[in-house]
Amino acid sequence: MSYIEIKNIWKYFQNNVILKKINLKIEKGTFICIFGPNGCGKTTLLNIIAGILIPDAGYVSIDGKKSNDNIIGYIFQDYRESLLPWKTNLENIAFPLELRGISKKERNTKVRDIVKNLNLRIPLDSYPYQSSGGEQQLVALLREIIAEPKVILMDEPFSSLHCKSRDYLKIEIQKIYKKLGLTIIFVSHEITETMQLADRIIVMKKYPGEIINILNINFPRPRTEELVFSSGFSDIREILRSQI
Amino acid sequence: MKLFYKISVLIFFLALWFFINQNHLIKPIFLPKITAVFSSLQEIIFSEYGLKNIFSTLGRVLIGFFIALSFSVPLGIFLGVFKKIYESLEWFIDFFRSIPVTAMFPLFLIFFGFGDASKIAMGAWACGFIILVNTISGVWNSKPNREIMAKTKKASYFQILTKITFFEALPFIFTGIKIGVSWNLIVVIVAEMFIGTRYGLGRLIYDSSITLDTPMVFSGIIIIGLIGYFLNQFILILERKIIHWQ
Ligand SMILES: Nc1ncnc2c1ncn2[C@@H]1O[C@H](COP(=O)(O)OP(=O)(O)O)[C@@H](O)[C@H]1O
Ligand SMILES: [Mg+2]
Repeated sequence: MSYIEIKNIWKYFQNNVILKKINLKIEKGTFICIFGPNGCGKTTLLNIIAGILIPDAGYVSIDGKKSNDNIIGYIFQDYRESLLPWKTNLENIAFPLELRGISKKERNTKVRDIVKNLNLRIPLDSYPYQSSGGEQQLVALLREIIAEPKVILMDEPFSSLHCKSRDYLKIEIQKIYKKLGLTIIFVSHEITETMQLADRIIVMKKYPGEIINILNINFPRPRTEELVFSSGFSDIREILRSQI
Repeated sequence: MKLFYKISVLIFFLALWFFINQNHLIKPIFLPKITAVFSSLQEIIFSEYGLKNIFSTLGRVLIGFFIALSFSVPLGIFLGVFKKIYESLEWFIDFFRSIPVTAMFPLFLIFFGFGDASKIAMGAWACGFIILVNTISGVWNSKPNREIMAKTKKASYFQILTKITFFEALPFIFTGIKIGVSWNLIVVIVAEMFIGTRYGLGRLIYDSSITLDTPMVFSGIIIIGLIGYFLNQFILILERKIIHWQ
C-alpha cells in the first residue's frame, strides 16, 4: 500500500461532475504537481485530500489512516487570509505548537532553530503585514512544517507574489523539501513552475475534472530558471501545452 | 496645525458666547454668563461634592460597560458560530433590542430597586445589546481560511473560538464598544434624572434646573460632554493599539 492513496474519488456540485474517478498513489518524500487549467477541480481535489471536503464517492488514505485523522499541511493561494495578523511571524510559525500546549519558551526555541537550520532570513519579530509577500509565504510554509504534517498541500501558493519573490521561493522550497524529506502536493496552472518543482506531474483536464496524464520529471535539483535551456525541457513543455 | 484649528474653533465659540453676554442678546436664564459657568465648573471640579457626582456617574457607566462586555462578547461569539441557535433567537433579540430601555424603567426598578443597581443594569442592558449584535456580525464577517487552517492543525473547538474567531470579530466588537459606551452614558444620565440618586451628573443637572441655576446646568452638560468625548478618545487609542493590523 502506498503512502497516500487516492481511490476512485467522485465529486459533484449541483449535478455537475467536478471530479471524475480520480485515482492516484503517492510515495513518501515525493514532490507532486497537479497541473491543469482553471476550473478543472484542483482546489476541490486538495480540499478532499485535506479532509475539508467530503467526496461523493471514494476515499483518501494517508499513511494507512483516513485523511481526517492525520495532521495535514495546507498552504493557500492567499497567504494574507491564512496568517494571523494579530500574531508576529514567530508566533504564527509557532501556532501549531501553541495549539498542542507547548510552552512559549520551547516554542520560540523551536522556531528559531528551524529558521536557522534552513538558513532562512525571516523578520521573526515583525508582524506579517510588515513583511514582504515572499516572507509571509515562507512564514506560512514554516508554520506547516513545524506541525510535522504527513503531507503538505499547496494551492498555487506563489501566484499572488511578485516574480522576484516567486523565483526565490521556488529555489527555497526545493531545498527545504530535500533537506526535510517532505511529501508535497503542489497545485499549479503554470508550466515552467510545474516543471521546476515536480518529481511527478499529474495532468488534469476540465469538464469533468479528470487525470489525463502522469509525467515523471528527472531534471537534477535545485532547478532554477535556467531549466528552460536544458535539453528535454521543451519536449515536456510541448506535452503539457498540448494537454490544456 | 491641526491643534491650532481645533483651538481656534474653541476660542471662536467662547468669544461668540462672550459677545452675546456683553451685548445682552440672550437672557441669562437661557444662556448664562460665561464667567458664571466657569465658576460653576470650578465648583464641581474642585469640591468633594462635585467630584462625587462625576465619579458616581462615571463609575456606573464603567461597571455597566464591563458587565455588558463580559456577557455580550462570549454570547455573541457563541450565537455567531451556532447559526441555528441564533436564528431561533433572532426575533427575541430584535424584539428586546427595539424597546428603548427607558420604556422599561419600571421593570428595572422592580427587579433592581432604586439604588445603583437599577441604573447600572439599564446602562448595561442598552450597551450589551449593541455589543452583542456587533460581535455576532463580526463572527459572520470572518473569512473561513484561518479557521480551516486551525482545523487542519487539529485545533479544538474552544481553541478555534478563542484563538481565531474572537480575534476575527475584534474590529466589530470595538465598533460595538464605541456605540455601546455612548448609549450607556445616555441611559445612566437619564436614569439618574428620573430614578433619583444622591450623587450623579444627571441628578446635578436636574436639581439645578429646578432651582433655575442655569450656570450649573451648563456646567453639568459640559462635564458630561467631556466624559463622553474622552471615553471615546480613550477607546479609539485602545482600538488602534489592540487591532494594530487593520
Ligand atoms: N462550493 C462550490 N459549489 C459549486 N461549484 C463549485 C464549488 N467549488 C468549486 N466549484 C466548481 O468546481 C469546479 C472546480 O473548481 P476548483 O476546484 O476551484 O478548480 P481549480 O482549483 O482547478 O481552478 C469549478 O467549475 C467551480 O466553479
Ligand atoms: Mg484553485
